[in-house]
Parts: sequence; structure tokens; C-alpha cells
Amino acid sequence: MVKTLHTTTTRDIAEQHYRQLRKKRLLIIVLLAAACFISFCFDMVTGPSALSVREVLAALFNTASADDTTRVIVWTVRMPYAVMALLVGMALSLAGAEMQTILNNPLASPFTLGVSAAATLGAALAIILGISLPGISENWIVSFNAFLLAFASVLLLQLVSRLRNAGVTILVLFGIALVFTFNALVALLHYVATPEALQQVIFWSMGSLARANWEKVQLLAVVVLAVTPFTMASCWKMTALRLGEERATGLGINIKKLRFTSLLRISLLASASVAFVGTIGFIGLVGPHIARMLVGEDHRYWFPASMVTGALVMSLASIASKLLVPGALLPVGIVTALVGVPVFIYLIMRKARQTR
Amino acid sequence: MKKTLMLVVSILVAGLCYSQPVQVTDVLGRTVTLKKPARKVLLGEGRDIVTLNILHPRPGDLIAAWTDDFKKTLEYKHYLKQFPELERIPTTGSGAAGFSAENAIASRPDVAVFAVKGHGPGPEAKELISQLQAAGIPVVFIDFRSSPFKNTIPSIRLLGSVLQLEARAEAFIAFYQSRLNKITSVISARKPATPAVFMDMKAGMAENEFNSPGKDNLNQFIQAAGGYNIGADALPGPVGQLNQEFVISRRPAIYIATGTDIFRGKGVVLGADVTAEETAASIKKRLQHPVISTLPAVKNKRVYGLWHLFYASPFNILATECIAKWIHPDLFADIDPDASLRELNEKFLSVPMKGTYWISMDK
Repeated sequence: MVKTLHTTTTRDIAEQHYRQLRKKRLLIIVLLAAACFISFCFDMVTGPSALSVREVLAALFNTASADDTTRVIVWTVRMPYAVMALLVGMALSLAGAEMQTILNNPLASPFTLGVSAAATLGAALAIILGISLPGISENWIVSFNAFLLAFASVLLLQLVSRLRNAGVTILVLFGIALVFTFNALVALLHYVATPEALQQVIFWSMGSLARANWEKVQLLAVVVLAVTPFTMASCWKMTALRLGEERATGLGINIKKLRFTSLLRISLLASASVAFVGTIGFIGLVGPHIARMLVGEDHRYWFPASMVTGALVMSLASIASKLLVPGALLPVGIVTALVGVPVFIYLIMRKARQTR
Repeated sequence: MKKTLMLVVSILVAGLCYSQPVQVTDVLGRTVTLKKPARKVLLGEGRDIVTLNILHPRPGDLIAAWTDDFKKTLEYKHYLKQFPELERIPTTGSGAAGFSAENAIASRPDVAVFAVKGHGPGPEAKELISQLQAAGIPVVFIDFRSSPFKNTIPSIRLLGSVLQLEARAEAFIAFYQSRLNKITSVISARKPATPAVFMDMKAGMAENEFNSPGKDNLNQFIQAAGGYNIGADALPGPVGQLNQEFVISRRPAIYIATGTDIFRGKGVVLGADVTAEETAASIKKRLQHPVISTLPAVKNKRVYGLWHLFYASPFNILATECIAKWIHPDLFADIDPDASLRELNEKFLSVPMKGTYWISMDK
């Protein structure tokens, strides 16, 4: 009798712990999402023109009453930037979390295997040589080229790893080889470019939210919405993969297929982001890290937490870039690092204190 | 007999002059001595062949070697048509990073002409400069870019002395100075209000990017012409990108798009061989951008286009005349940039500037 009571209690305590943990993790994700929303609101009311909060709200909810200038500022300038910041943050951070899992490497990011280098090559081809597929409108050739090459580079990577039946190490090494190849080709293009076109390529590669417009926002939103359910469906397998390839295989998981579908998702997310806003590093590396420190590595929580963390850091970066140099556009890639690094270091220090 | 003697004497005198050392001070204040006047120069920026054309009807004859930036332009085709031998001038690479000291030295120039700021080697290329000097090639610096209105005249005068083509240099300086004086004297005497100008640099090259001059370079053009460049408030350097909202909030009264032929199909196109129709169509396309179409300048049709490469050219005075006339049409009614261009082409340039270098769309 006493014995049974004892075991029930232990089991109860364990279950209660688990329920509490789940609750805590969900709460953290909800809080992060709320922070994203607040940050988005701040993003909408900050800008170099002295629009009051009331004017912004009026333009948002009673569009007809606002004058042309205010309407353009709110709907054509601020809103696409602000939404793009959230979407890019989600896409890159989620892609980073998946990449870190399938490569079993916390230093991986969506750009580790050459996606951004390939995208830059695509953009440079369009800007310097005007090369693109026929039938693409002039306003889209840079984005289109960037996406095409980024996506193609991942397919190439996939093909090679299949042909050679290669493991993670070969995949990473081949990805690094691609990075160097693309960088060299971009440098070669720099060499033949006129100085004016060259400056344009450099601006492009620094990454900027200013390239956002509603069409691009919609496209990226479609990509994120389409990819996320598949990511979430793979959560269990991903968590199992973290136990090691052999154990995951023992649990009946087809690792090759898992890795391939994951790489496809990563490349869609990363290529679409980089095509629309240029290379924004750091988010894809640090978003997942911050999320992992907050909710642990159970993918059911870690993936959504990575998305909201990434969105939050990007949104804060968007605000900071407007406040740091009013009127000018500081390339947002610079700001993401400046905003994200202090948060990152704080979390590392805290964790170090806890584990000591 | 007497005639022959005169001839011999004058040849001797000329020869003596020619072998005299030349001492010059360049725009950085460096005193440079050439053992004798230069016949051949090394150009750190190939585009300065146009500057040499001010001084000499066959500018290619003065070039020992050059960087290949100019070869990527449409102007080069004009030059090549008249002087096919330009194709044989050795190149020293592309820009500062790809500069070949060996090619430069092997071309045996009498002097190297570098720009203080630009796409070729500059004062920071210390190793290159000491290598050239060790090979007996002095280096002089010219500048049309970092302080255009202070340094254009000294730069032309410097080249005139180095190449002993002073007469042509002084003629151009007179052409330049009289025009600059006119603008500065009117501005300083009348002190007109300075309307806000948005210069959309390389307009439309990327749909949603608004490049603008900051505190340097083209900003000085706008200031000299009696305007107020909105980018100067936000951008610390010579050029940067403006937040679109900032542009709207400054309510610019004047809109000037700059462009070159490399933006054909994408953005605003101006330059050699470009027709006014093409330029106008490219600017109209840019004006459809939702942010630009709301600007007061566009609503009031104060819309203009300017060739981008005036930013680093001794012909910056033509651009300044245009901008002055656009900003203050009443004060500068008697200024005629088209006439200035004609005079420049007739008096100085054996390869004339033909194409559309500016356009006014305020009608």
C-alpha cells in the first residue's frame, strides 16, 4: 500500500513537472509573440517624419480621411518594412533552427551551405551584366536571379550528396566549397563591373528592408505559411535525430529523406528572404540559439520559439535602424548584429552562471 | 640664312625649355619635381582621358597606360571611333584593387596622375606610390570629386604645367572660372532662399532604393547652385541611402534624377548617344514610384535629369549651371548650359560630348 502510494506520487510529480514545463514553454512563446506585436506597433509609429500616433492610427483605420503623404508613409513605406522585418526574421530563424538540427551543428545557419553566396552571385549577374531568364520584368530580375541561384545551389548540394551517398561532413564540406566558388565568381564580376554598378552590388549584398513592397511581402508570407506546417509535422523526427543518427534510424526514421525535405524547406525560406532583402546574417544563427536557451530543444517548442525570436530581433533591428541614423538607411544586416549581440551575450552569461 | 639661324635658335631654345625640370604643387599640397616636362602619363582613372582632351586634340598620345574603367563606357566608343589606336594602350588593371604596378612601370610613363578620391589608386596606395617613385616615375594628385569647386582649376593648371600645355589649360580655366564666378556672385549677392532638393542618384537602378548625396561631392554642386540637399541632413558620407519616409517628410521642391547609360532598361538613362526621348521616358517611369509621385516637386513639375558622371568630371561646371538654373530660374535666366556645352565642344574637345547630359521636364 505504502509502496503503491509512493510510486504514484513520483509519477504524479513527474507528470506535473512535465505539464508545468509545457505550460512554461508555451507561456514563453506567447510572451515572445506578444513582444513581437508590441515591437511591430513601435515600428509602425517610428520614422523620420514627425507623424503622431494619432495620425498613424487614422491612416491605418480610416484610410480615406488621411492625406496622400500620410497614407503613402504609413501604407507604402512603414507597413511593408515592418511586416517584412517580422517575416524575414521568422523565415531565417526557422531555417537556421532546421539547419542546426540536420547538420547536428550549433554553428550552422541558413547561409552555411552557400545560399547567400549563391544569391549574391545571382543579384550581381543581374546588376552588372543584366543577365536573367527572358520574360522577367525589370523590377524583378534581381530578386528572381537571387532566388534562382540560391535554390539551384541547394539542389546541386542535394544531388551531390545523393550521388555519393554522403553524410553530414561531406555535405558541409561541399557547401563550403560552393561558398568559396560563388564568392570567387562574384569577385570576378566585380572586376568587370563599372564602379557605379559595383556600388549597387555592394549595397545589395548588405541587406536592406527598404526593398520591401507589398508584392514581396505577400510572396514571402506565402512561403513561410506553406513551409511551416511541414516543419512542424517533422518535429518528432527532428527531436529523434538529435539523439544521434543511429538511434533515429533505429526508431524507424528515414534520415536521408528527412534531411532532403528539410534542406528543401531551408532553401525555400532562405532563398526567398535573401532574394527580397539581401543578405541579412546573424538572425539565422542567433534566433535559434536564443530560442533554445529559452525553451530548450524539444522541436515542438523550439521551432515556433525560433520563429518568434527571429521576428522579434528583426523587428527591433528595424526600429533601431530608424533611430540610430534618422533619415538614412543603415543596412539592416549591420543593425541585426548590433541589436542581437547584447541579447545573445546576456543569455550566454546567464546560462554560464546557472550551470556553474 | 637668317631664317635658318632663327629656326636653329628657336629649336635649341625649345629643346632647352623642354629639358628643364618642372616643379609643381599638386592638390594635396605635395611639391613634385619632374626632371623634364612629361610626354606620357599614367592615368589612375581611365576616365581622365576626357580631361586630357581639354589640353590636347589627340589625348591618347599623352597616355602611357591607364586603368580600364573608361573602356566600359559608351564615351569610349566615341573615342575609339576617332582614335582606334586607343585599343593598344596598355591597361594596368581595373580599379585600385586590381592595379598592376608592373604594367604601370613597364609602360614607362613620365608621370603618374592619380585622383585624390575615386576608383583608382589614391593617396592611401603608399606601396604603389613608392614603387613608382623608385622607378623614377613621380606621382601627382588631381581632384574633381572630393572638393570639386576648389580643386578643378588647380588640377587643370597642374596638368597644363606637367605636360607644358599651359595655354590650353588657361583657356579652359577662363571658361570655367567665368561661369563659376557668375553663379557664386549672384548667390552671394542676392542670398536667395534655398529650396529643398532631392537628388535621386542613379535613380531607379533598384526600384526601392533612394540613393542621395550626403555631405560631400554632389552636395557641393547643389549648395553652390543655391539649393539645399535634403540628404545632407541624414548622410555623413558622400553618398548613402535615404529612408523613403524621410524623403517624403522633407517635402522637396526640386527633384533631380541622375543616371548613366549602364542603367538602361532599369533606371534613368543619360549620357553619350542617349536621346532626349529615352531620357524623358526613363524619368517618367521613375516618377510612377508611389513615394516619388507624392513629392511636391513632382506634383509641381519641378523634375530634372542630370548625367551621373558629372560627379567626378572637370565639366562639373556644366552640371552646376543646370542645377542653378533649375533651382533659381529667375536669378539665372541668362545662364545657358546648352551654349556652354557647345562652346566646350567647339573650343576644347576633339571628341565632343554628344548625347543627353541633362533634361528639364518642368514644361
